[in-house]
Amino acid sequence: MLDTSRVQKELAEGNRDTETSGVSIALHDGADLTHLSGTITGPVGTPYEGGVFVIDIRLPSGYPFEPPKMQFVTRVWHPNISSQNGAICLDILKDQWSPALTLKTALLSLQALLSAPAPDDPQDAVVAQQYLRDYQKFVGTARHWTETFAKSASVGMDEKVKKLVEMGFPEDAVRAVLEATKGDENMALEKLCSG
Amino acid sequence: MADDVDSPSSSEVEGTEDRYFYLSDQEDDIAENVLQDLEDGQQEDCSWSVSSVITKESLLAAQKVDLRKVMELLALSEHNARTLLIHYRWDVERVFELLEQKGKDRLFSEAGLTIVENKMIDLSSCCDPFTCSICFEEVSPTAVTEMDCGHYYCNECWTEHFIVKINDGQSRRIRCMAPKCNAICDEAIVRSLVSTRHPDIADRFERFLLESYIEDNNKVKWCPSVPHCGNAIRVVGDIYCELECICGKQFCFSCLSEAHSPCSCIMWERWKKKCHDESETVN
Ligand SMILES: [Zn+2]
Ligand SMILES: [Zn+2]
Ligand SMILES: [Zn+2]
Ligand SMILES: [Zn+2]
Repeated sequence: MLDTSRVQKELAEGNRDTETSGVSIALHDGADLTHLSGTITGPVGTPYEGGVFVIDIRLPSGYPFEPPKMQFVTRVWHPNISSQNGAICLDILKDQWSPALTLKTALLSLQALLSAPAPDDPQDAVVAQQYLRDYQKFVGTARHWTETFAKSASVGMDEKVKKLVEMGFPEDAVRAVLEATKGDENMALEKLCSG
Repeated sequence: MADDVDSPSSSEVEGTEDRYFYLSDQEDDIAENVLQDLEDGQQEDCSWSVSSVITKESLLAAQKVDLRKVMELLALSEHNARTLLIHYRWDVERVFELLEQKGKDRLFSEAGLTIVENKMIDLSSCCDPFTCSICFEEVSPTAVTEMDCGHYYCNECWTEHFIVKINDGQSRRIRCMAPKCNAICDEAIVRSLVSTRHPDIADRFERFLLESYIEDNNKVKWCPSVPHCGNAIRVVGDIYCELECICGKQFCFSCLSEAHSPCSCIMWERWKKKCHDESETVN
C-alpha cells in the first residue's frame, strides 16, 4: 500500500523553497498520488543552464520502501540519460535507494547528475562516446538540446498545442502563435481569437 | 576421442587444474575436526578429502557450530557473527586468518558490521514524541527501534522495509534504511518485528538464513538428487572428489554431475556434450 500521507507531506515540503532549490514536485493530473511530475532547473555553468527539465515520477505501491520510477520527459543530451526515452541511470533510483530519501532529494540528485555526468556507467552509449571522444562537440549538442527542448517557451509545448487545437484552432497557426508569444498560452489564445 | 576420456594416469593429471590425487598434510587434523563438529553427520572418506552429510535436521546444528566459534572468538552476538560468516562465505578458518592479517576493524567494516559503542541518543529516557524521518509521523519513543549503527526509525517503517527485502529474496543482508549506511540489520529485531505482523514472512526469513549456510558456502553443496533428498554435503580438503549421499546418490562434488573419475570435470562435460550432439545428428 502506498503511504499516501507521506506523499502528501512530501508534496508540501518539497515545494517550500523551489526558488532556491530549483526543484519542484506536483501531482500529474490532480488526483492520482502515484503519478507525479517534477521539474529541475539546469545547473549554472553546465550546458543545461537556463533549461527547465520535466521529470515523470511514478510511485510503486511499496514507496518509500521501493524507489520511485523517474524518467525525463524533456529531451536531454547527457551520458546517463537516454536521448531516446529519457530513462535514467542513477544508483539511488536503483539498489542504492533508501526509504529515508525523498522525491526532493532524488530530484536534487538528478540535478547533481546534470552537473557531473558519469560516462563510464552510461545509459546512452552514443552520448557517452561523444562525451569521452569529443567533449566540445558534446557540450555543443547538449546546449543545443537545452535551447530546443528545455527553454521556458518550449516546456510543455506539445500539451499547449494540443489544448489549443482541441479548442478548434488549426495546428500550424497554434504553433506559430505560441512561438511568437514564447509559449504564453493566454497571449496566444488572445492573438488566435483576435486574428 | 576415446583417448581423451580413457583413464589418464596420475602423472598425466599432475600439474593440471584437476587435482585428483592431491593429499593434504593436515588431512588427519581436519578429519578430526569434522568428526567433532558433526557427530550426527555420516562420514564418507574419499582418499583425498573428507565429506559429511548434513541432513535437514542437522543443518541448524552445523550452522550453530560455526556461529559459536566466531561468537566466542570475537565476542559477537549471533546476528553479527552470521553477518560476518555470510560475507566470508562461512569459511571460519578464513575469518580467523583475516583477523590476524587485517585486524578486527577492517574485518568487520568490510563485512558491513558496525558496532557503535556509545549510542547516539537514549531513546527510552526521552519522553517527547519522536518524528520518524521515513513516514514523517509522530510516534511514541517506545515504538522506535535503533539498530547497531545508531540509526533509528519507527517500528512500522522497519517492518515494512524488512518485508520488502525478504519478499525480494534479500534476507541474508538486509541493510539499514539510512542512506549510504551499510550496516546489516540485527536478525533478532527483524525476526521479532516481522513475526508480530506476518508470521509467514518471518518463517521465510528463517528459512533463508538457514539455507545461506549452504548457498553462500564454497565447501557445502546440496545433494543433486532428483527429487531432492533434503541433504547437503560438506567437504573438507580437496573439493574435487566423488562421494555418495546417504540417499544413495553418487556424484562429483565439483561439478555435481554423476561420478566420472578418472575423467576431469571439463573433459566429462565435453564428452557429454559430444554424445548429446552426436545423438542429435543421428536423429
Ligand atoms: Zn516511520
Ligand atoms: Zn544505519
Ligand atoms: Zn542425497
Ligand atoms: Zn566433476
